[in-house]
Amino acid sequence: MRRKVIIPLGSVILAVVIISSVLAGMALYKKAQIKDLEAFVSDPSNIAEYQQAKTNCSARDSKAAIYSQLQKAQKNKSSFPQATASLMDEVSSSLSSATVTGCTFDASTGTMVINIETSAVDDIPSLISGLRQISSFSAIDYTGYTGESGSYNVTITCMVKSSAY
Amino acid sequence: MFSKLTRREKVLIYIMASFIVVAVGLIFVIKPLASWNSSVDGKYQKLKAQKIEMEAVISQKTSSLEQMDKIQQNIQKTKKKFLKTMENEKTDELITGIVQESGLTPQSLEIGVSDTGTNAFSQSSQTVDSSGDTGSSSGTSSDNAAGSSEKTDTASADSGSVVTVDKVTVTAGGSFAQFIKLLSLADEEPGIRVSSFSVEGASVSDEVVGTTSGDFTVQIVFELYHADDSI
Repeated sequence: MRRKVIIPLGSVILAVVIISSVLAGMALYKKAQIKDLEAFVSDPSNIAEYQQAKTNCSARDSKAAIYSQLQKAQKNKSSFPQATASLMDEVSSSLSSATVTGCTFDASTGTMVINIETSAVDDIPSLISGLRQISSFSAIDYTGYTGESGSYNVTITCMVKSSAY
Repeated sequence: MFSKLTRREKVLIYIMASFIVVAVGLIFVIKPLASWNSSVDGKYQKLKAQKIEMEAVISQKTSSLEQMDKIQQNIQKTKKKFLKTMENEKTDELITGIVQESGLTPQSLEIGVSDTGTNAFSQSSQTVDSSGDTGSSSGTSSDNAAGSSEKTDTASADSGSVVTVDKVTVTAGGSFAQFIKLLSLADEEPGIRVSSFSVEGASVSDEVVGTTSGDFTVQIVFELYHADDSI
């Protein structure tokens, strides 16, 4: 009877002791590791090396930020549609049978408005077709002409493709 | 005395005793040990993280220098696509030079800070008006000294920026071919973008200029991208 009483109670006490031992063992093991870690992080040579490396990394990151800004500015600059000399040459050549009386361009919208004057009303459609052949234009808007007695004015709106595309 | 108790009472006492043992063990042994273990673990994790971070940073000590050199080379390469930081009189010299090289006759030039581009600074602008006389453009440029320093101050107020964008509006007279040459010359210059232009026939320009400046009046807006010299 006495044995029957002691064994379960002893088991409970043993369980408490085992759990306590495990916890204490874990803590003691980590304490030993903490010593090693503390030795590493407080080592003056490691600290000096760390500080130097941190300074290097900080300088590198700063340079990377500058480079990123430059790239961003470069991208911004080249993202707009451009009315280049070669494009204007193409426009000029395709409108050679007419007289260019004005031309406006806005890079923010990519819109180029060309005003031409021609004496031959029959030539106007072929002039517009010529402009449509220019690959730098994504769209040509032609809505007609005005004029009389051998002089006709035409306004053509062209959309210049963005150089980014 | 214990023998006088019934079996049920003995079982109850036994359960109570077991409960007390478990409770005492939990409260006075396991809980403090768990708490100690937790605090030791916290310190351990903190130091471990610190060591990992230190090792990671130290391992980059040499490579970061190499990376920095590489980035610096890229910066120098990219910087070539931008103009150097310059005072307004230098900007005037550059743009007027291009205009004259194209064969167009400069009529007016206005330098301001662009509200587009990478950095938008508060607007400050001044006008250089050559009145159609190309020789006088350098003379009028010197009048910009105060205006130039004002612009520089505004730009330097934003110390984090490495690119500043100026807007230069030029009016000139000449032929359409000369205008195309101007576009070509502007295209060759690094850091210059044609923001907009307007080319009008001579009948308009003659009224404005009153000179034989050519068949067209051209108004062209350039955006000048300057990279900070110190980078």
